[in-house]
Amino acid sequence: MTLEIRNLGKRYGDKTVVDGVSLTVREGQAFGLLGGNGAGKTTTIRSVLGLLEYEQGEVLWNGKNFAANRPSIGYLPEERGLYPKETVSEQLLYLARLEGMKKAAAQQALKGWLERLDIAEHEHKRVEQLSKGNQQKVQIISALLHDPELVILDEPFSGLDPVNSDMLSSVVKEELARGKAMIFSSHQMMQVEQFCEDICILKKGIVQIDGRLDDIKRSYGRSSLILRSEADLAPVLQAGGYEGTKRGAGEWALKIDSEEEAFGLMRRLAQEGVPLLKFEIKEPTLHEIFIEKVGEAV
Amino acid sequence: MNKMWTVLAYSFKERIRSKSFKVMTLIVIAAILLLTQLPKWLGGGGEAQTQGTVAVIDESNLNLTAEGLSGNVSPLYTWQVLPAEELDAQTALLKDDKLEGVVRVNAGDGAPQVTLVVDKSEDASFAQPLMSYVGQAYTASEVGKLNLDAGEARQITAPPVLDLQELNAGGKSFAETFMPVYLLLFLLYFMIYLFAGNVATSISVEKGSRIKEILITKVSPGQLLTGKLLGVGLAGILQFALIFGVGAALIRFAGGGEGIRLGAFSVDFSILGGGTLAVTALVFVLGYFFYAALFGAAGSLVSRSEELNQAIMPVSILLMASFFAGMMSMNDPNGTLAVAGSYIPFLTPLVLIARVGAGELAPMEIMVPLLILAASTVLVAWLSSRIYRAGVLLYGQKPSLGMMLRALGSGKRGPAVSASAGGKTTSGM
Repeated sequence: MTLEIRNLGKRYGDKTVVDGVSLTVREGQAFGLLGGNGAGKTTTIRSVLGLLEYEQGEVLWNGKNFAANRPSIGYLPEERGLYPKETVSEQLLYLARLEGMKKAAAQQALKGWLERLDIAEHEHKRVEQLSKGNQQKVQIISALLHDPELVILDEPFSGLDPVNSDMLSSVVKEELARGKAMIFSSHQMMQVEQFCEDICILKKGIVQIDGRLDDIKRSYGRSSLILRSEADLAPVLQAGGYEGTKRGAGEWALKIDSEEEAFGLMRRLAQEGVPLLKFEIKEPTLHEIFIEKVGEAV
Repeated sequence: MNKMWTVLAYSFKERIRSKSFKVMTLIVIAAILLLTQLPKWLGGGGEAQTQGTVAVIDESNLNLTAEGLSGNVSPLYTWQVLPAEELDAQTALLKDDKLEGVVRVNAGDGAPQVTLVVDKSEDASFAQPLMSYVGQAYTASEVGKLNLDAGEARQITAPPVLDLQELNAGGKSFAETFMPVYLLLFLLYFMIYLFAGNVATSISVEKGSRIKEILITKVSPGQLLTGKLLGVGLAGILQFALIFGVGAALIRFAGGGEGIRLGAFSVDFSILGGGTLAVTALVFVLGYFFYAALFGAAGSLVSRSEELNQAIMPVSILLMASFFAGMMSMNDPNGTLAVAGSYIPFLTPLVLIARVGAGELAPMEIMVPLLILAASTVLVAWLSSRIYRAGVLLYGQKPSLGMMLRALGSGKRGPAVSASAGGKTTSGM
């Protein structure tokens, strides 16, 4: 089960909102679709779902036209939507029936999910009576209840406290282990790093960077080097042309362009007899990459 | 198709469980019960109602009697023939509103002189028959003085014979049909407004709560709209059947409210007849779908359900125009407005009911407007589904007629949603 987007383009009048986006989401894998506000994430998702018509490119499911071979989809939109006046069970069963589930099967699945997310006691309450976090859980159930093949989660963690965030994290991991293909869009980079092997960062509808997260980090170049010493490193670093920042307690952090550069520096420090207590090359965080790729023009 | 049924069942269930459905059904049935049965409970059995007492001071020698007056002038009044001394006392009673009128008949010079004292001239509706009765009595008394034999006397005093021939026997009179048809029109207007309006509300709630974005990943907009129209429509038909079923049963087994009057008009539902009710049922179904499609299109343009009233205003005005055209058509079922209006789709529902209820129409005069309405309903539903499609992701714009037209234009290319059941593809593939 593979979702492929090839060279997708979408315009509103003269304004191009998505331009040449390509990505591939594989079975059992979460794809991180990242970007600032207005980058074109939601437009890309809506185009995949067929909610919007696009002018350019194609969307494929298992190599065939997506619209003609539509998989069952679990969609958690950025703008949450439930019937405020209907009870939790009524609307979830209705949504499951619309996916072709039999009533008994839907009821059984619903029971399991309500217990799994710890909101079984709210089954017969109206949605408007629930807290925001519990409404969010109902929304998540609505996306997963019918055991969809393709799951699209847009900001799934918003409104959840740390306990419930952990609960959802384990749910997402379970779903991935069960072989779902997943598109995961979020501004919380920690969560993206936790789930996603592949990512793509959009800005103004154009892909800034994409590929495997590990490769992106490695090839990103600019890493951080952390040094700790009882001696004062400032003169040595200045002599070498580095602008080290003192992090306190005998620690310095500096930017390096490659691992070789770091090793060169270490050799020099050893030749000069500077004792090192710590030498650590840190990969750039996704947060840093995101800020640099998206933030520069902001 | 299955999904459309799921939507239909859900909309139907949601509708009949709603408070407004239950309350309205009960209120209308209670109103029919009251209108048809109240006179029986109050009157205890059809005794003629009297409109008041008229005192007659007879100072002539015509020998006027209460029976004679009741039989010849009007049975609706209680007549009291009193001696001359009573005049002042009776006039005082009239002033106190205890009497309808005081009549004083003097012998006069030759012909008798009648003085009629009433509170207002509209209370003297019996003046004409009273005068002709007094005239007859005078003639009879004068003829008696001529010593003619019985045959001759009868010949002189014989009244002319009136043979009234109705060319349109059994036809409907305005006074008889006004109230039943008016109430029918009002009920129909109210039910179409309620159910078609409910489609708009339901669509705007789905849009305002943003659940529509999830729904249309599961069902195509066409199926969603069709299921909703049919589901709510079915609930409307159920309510229609309940109201008219109970109404018809009451009229059949307990009488149709003969004798009850609202103002100057009688409310006898039995004069409506089966034909009128059959047309009413058809008009309700077609009128509902026509207006529900329009209301639905308006509802799909709002961003939040609070904006709904503004969005459906143009459609509400159309429906209201239809109601007023219907009221005016009742007065003149074959007038220009009534005839032309019955062929204009958005006026057809209520104008046609008024014409059928108040006039006599040839079958073609009923069939053709209904066919035009049916064809227009299909067209409107098609346009409405275009607007509905385009409106799915339209947020933050003021709903207006212009926007509806723009949505109609963009709907041609509209979001190519097919859900899993559909076969439509997105262009560019």
